[in-house]
Amino acid sequence: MTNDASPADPAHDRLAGSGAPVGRPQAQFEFLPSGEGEPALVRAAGDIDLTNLGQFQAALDQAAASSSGITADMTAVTYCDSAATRALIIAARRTRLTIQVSSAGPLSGTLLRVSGLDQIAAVVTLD
Amino acid sequence: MALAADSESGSVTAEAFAADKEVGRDLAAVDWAATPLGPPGSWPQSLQTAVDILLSSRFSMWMAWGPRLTFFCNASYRRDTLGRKYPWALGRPASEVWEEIWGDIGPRIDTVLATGEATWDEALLLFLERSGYPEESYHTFSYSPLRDDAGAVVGMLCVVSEDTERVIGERRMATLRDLGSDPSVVRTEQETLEFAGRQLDRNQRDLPFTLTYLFDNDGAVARLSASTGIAAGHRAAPATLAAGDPDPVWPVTALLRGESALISLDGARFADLPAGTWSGPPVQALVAPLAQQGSAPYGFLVAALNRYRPLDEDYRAFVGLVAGHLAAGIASARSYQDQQRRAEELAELDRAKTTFFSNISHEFRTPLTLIMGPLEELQRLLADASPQAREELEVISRNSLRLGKLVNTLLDFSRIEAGRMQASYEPADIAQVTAELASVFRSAIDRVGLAFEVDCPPLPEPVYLDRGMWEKVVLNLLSNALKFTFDGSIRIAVHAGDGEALVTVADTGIGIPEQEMPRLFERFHRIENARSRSNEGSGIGLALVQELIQLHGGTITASSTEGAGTTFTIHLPFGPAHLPAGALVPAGHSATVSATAVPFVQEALRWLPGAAQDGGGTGTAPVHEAIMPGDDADPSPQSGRALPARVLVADDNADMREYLARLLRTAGYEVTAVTDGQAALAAVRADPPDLVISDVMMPRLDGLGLVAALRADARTAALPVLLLSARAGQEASIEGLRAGADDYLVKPFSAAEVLARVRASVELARVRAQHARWRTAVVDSMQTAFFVCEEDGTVIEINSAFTDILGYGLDGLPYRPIQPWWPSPEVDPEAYRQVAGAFTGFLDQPQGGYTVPVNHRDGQRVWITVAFNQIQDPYTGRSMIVGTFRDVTAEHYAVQRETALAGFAAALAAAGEISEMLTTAAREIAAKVHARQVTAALWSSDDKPAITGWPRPAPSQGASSAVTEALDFVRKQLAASVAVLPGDEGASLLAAPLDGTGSSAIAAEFPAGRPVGAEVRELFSVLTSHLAQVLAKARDYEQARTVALTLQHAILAPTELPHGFAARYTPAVPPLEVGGDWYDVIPLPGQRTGVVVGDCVGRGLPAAAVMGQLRSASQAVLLRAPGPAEALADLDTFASRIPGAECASVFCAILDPAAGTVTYSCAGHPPPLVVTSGEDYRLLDQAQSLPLAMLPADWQRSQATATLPPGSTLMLYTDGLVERRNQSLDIGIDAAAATVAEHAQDHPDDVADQVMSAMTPSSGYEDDVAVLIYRHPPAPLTVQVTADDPSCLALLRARLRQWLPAAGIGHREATDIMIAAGEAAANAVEHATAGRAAEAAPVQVTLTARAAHTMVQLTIADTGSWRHPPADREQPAPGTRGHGVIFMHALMDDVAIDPSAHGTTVTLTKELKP
Repeated sequence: MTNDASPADPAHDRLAGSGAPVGRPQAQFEFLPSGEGEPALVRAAGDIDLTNLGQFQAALDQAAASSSGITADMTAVTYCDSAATRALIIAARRTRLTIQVSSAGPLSGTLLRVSGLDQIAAVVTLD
Repeated sequence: MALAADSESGSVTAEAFAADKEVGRDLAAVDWAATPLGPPGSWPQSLQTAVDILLSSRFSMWMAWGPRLTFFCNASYRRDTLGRKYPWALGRPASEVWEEIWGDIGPRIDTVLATGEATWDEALLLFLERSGYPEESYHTFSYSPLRDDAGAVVGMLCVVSEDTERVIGERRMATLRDLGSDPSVVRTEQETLEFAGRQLDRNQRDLPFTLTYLFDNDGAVARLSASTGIAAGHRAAPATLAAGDPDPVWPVTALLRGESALISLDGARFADLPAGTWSGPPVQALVAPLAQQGSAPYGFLVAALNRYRPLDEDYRAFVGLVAGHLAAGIASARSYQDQQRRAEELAELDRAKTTFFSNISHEFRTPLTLIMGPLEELQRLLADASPQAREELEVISRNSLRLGKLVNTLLDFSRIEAGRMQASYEPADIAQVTAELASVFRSAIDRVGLAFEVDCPPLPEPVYLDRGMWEKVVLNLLSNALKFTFDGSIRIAVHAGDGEALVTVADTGIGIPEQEMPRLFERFHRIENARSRSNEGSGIGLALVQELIQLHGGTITASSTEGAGTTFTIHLPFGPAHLPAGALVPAGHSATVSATAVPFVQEALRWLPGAAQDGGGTGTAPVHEAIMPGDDADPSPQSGRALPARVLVADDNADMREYLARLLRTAGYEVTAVTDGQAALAAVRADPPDLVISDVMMPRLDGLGLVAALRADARTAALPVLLLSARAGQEASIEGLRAGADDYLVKPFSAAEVLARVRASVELARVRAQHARWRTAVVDSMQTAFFVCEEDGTVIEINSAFTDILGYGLDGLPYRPIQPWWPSPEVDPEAYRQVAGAFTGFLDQPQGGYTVPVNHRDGQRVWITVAFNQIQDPYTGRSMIVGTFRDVTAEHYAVQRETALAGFAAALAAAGEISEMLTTAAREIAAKVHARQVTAALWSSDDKPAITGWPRPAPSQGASSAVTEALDFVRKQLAASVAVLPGDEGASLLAAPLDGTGSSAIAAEFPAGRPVGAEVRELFSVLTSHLAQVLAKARDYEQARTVALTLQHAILAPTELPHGFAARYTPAVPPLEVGGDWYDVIPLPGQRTGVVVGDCVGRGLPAAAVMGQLRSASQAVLLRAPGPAEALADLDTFASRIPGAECASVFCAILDPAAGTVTYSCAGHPPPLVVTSGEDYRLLDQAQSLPLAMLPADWQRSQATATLPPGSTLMLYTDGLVERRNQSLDIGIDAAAATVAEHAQDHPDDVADQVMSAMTPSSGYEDDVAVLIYRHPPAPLTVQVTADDPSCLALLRARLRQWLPAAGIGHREATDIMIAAGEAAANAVEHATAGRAAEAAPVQVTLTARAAHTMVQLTIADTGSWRHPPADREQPAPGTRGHGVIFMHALMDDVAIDPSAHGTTVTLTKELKP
């Protein structure tokens, strides 16, 4: 079941070994540059914790540097903690941030409210 | 929990109310010092304990404490019962909180306080004002005493569950059930309304009063037809309401359109309304139309509403169903009335027919008399006339007699039918009378060489006979025997039987086929193709015989063997007792043998060989038929020749022409003269004469040519022709005769010679013409069409029926193939093919028959059944075809319609849902009316209909605009109407509404050039009407089912199950009904839980009602009974008192999660499963017994206890889950257990979904199914990782992620727990490893998780050191560190961080909500 995971991505190997959901063909964090005036897209998937927070931050930094706004697609995220919300808040203070979350995912409700993300970023909940 | 005496009240308060954060906060806010209880710090231990129990319970409770009964409640009570009174009620005197019901509950509380004994009330009606108005609500509750530290009763605790939904649901269902009871009873409209009224009157809570108005036929006036709960003459209940009234009491106009309305009952006309069983009058009424399929409503129902309940969907549905019941009752009553009326009309028609029959028979008798009288005289006068003249007269006489006999028989029948048969029964020696009658027939029987035995010995008693009738009986039977017997004998015998006389008439004739026996005595029934002496007969003789015998109180039977003979046996009782006294006359009243016998015998004699030649002999006896008024009628003298013979003279010589004309006119002939053969031919064709006299030598067309032309034409082939020629000699004469002339005269000729030849020819022609006229008359009188064809199929002769049926007359003759009535090969190739095929056979075969479609001259399609024979033309020797046909169009289409309808009905019956039904209907209609496309549309609330059709329109292209318009037009038309409309590009459309409410329609599209005939319209109408009916039924059914299901679900709550449980209920697939399965989960004291699953006998609303009662009873008994066996024993008692509850199966268990046990008892229910892991499961089958109320008196319910291993899954279910036809229950249980085992680690909700879907049979569940899943908490989880392993956090999460659903923790809570635990673990890893000496031992992080009854607790312990967040900031600014702990607090109910030198332990606790 790990065949799809990129061997170059250590996070995938660990997740696979620990039984976490895997099987995504794309990288765990993707930065997709945008056209003129459009926000850049950062797409995240799987668990975000201390071990891969740096990659997530890097993707956000890259996006923030390249355009006037970021859309962070967090709908495929299966776990994220306060460190990830912190990374998003930092990004939101640099540029216009829209967060797409799934209503059943970890980044919703309490977490958005407690972290204050819902005040500093636009949140779009997708089902 | 002990409090320090000097603590600050604030912190004490917080602790006293800690068991529930939210209610606790509000309780803490109460100014307790102002209450008799004082500040919480001063409260006795007993009060603190009581409050703690109250707040920590998930069962709905409130309590009152102290002299003023100060009010406390918990979260469940707040949610379920208190409503808007929270938090106002906290800390107030209970009498103030529940002021509106204090009259009810105050005395109960007083009793508890005074006696210290608990009270128990079940489903007590209380009017709570928690939603802004007094609300009818039902509560099952117990008040128990609360004691202070010294043991004195100082307060009370109420444990309560609300039953409002159930009680009201059951009450409404009972009304609906009662309304629907006894559907087989036929009632008049008034009886129906009265019956319904009695049922509605019994539920004055939901229907304080009702009014039923029915519209008059034209809808102009609505009349009050029934009412309940309101006195006649009330201003709100006027006897009539006019549709034109600008301000009617009830909105008649809207109702006439079928719309419901909600009416506020205010204003003067609604003053003093009756209140039903309530104290206040209703404030609103729902007015619902009594909908009629396909028409304006029958009327409407005014339902006053219970002011103490909101008008929710259930209430609306209830009123709707009541109105539906009423409408259905009226529909059935009216249809019954219609049937009655039709039956009466038929009877009336029958009476009219009898009267007509009687009158017409009389009318026949007069002219008959006037024929037979003079005839007799004529026979006498012409006794010496030529044999031919006497023979003709004889024919007339015989047929007049026969007609007279027939008219008499018909008259007898009409008298019998009208009950006007005047019988005079006199005591008679039946043997003698019968023997005399028989003797009349002796000579006829002797003459055909049959033996005639008459065996009539005297009988001991007289039989009462009407002599006239009896003669008809005997004569009919004897003439019948003679008619059908060719060898052997005829025997008539009279004997005495047991209290009766037996008369038998037996013959050795041809006998009667067995299949004809049942219809032997039927009127006008004749046995076809029977060999007989005559083909004459009307088929009413035996029917009359039977009627006459029945008038005598007797019976007639027949036995027969084909080829061996027939015996008729008559039974006639002795004596007069069985006859009407008024019809008895003394003996000797009538003559011996009346004249009635004559026609019988005459008729019989005429059947005999040689009778025709011997005619003169049979008529010698004077005829005195009963219809003769007398024998002195004066016959008018015969007027000589009727008409002069007409002669056509053709000669080019004017002198000869004039000479012949003068000569013949003088001799009395009517003469037309023409100048040549061509003119003669035209004159003959225009008006055929009796004779043609033609010269041979003529211009244009000579005499021989004229003869040939006349002979070639069938219409003139027989016309006599006398040729005149100047050429003498044998040769010329032979030439003339060979050409077909009848005679030949050589000029010069004498006048006498001409006149003699003409007279002879005219005589011959007269004979021929008589035959021809006779033939024409016969042919024209036929009801069937008649035609003659030449061998190539050219029609050369037709009769008037032919013209009637096809519209083509004599003027168009001859009709050469292809005849104009053939269908067009372009427009209707199939019909053309049929006719062409039949035509081939017509020309080739010697005889045959077929049914084909042809076109009437007016273009209409006509179906005819043709029979034909090839014959030789006697004049020309050519082969001709003679045929007849009947118009079978009506039969053809009737049969086609019947067949089509039967196939259509069968196809629709197989379709399930309405949309499938419409698709099927479209396909079937398209095939049956040969439409190019059939489109059906269903309108819901919006204007865009749902379209379905056949062939299915592609999703992108809807119906064409013409079709759409047609559907939209026709849907508003009256039901069963069919509209013919133009379609696109010359196509034709037929469209019909499928109901009268404008919500559905169907249209069929026919290609251009195919006119839509009446028969297609009719077929379309028949099919769409049927579809409309089926559709209406399907809609009613779907609606009723939806409501039943809603009620079932309303009763089947709890919507929120306690933690760890999941339940599913699925009704059986349509058309099977909702059943009586139920489940329940009942929280019990001591963290125990009662679980019940059961199945009532039967289906539908009655079963659901019983289910509701049993379910609430099981709640009550489980709360009180010490164990499941006792609970079931109590239920036995209960079930024995409720009709329909006996034999229900119930499994009842008490779960004790702390002890890990389940104690259970089972009443005839399939055993639940306990699944641990893999394929391993156990059945809870150690306490099986009989179903409810089936236990013999001295038997006890047993009970058993099983352990619940950690993480095990308990599944309760009803038999619908595992029971399959032709399959052992074990197979189903095994399969269900395997599915549960496969999902043993999944959340209970997922397990329930998986089981329900895995077990669903391919065609859906045939019985309803209830499933209840409980997950026992698994063993605690312990994971230890090393902090410097980079994957340690992922590993912790992975293990926890797996464990949480297995512990029955739902996704939302699991997500919260995952994040909180992840934060704690991340902190441990990050902080414990930071700044640590490299050589130090690796930091270990240990996660443990444990699920208990209603909470889950996690600890994350590390061996490092913990960093506190900055102490001065409660809420870190966004983007700063320290969110982890805040997240934990936000996500969990309790967070405890215990840092120490050797490491930090974080304890996270979360309450598990239902």
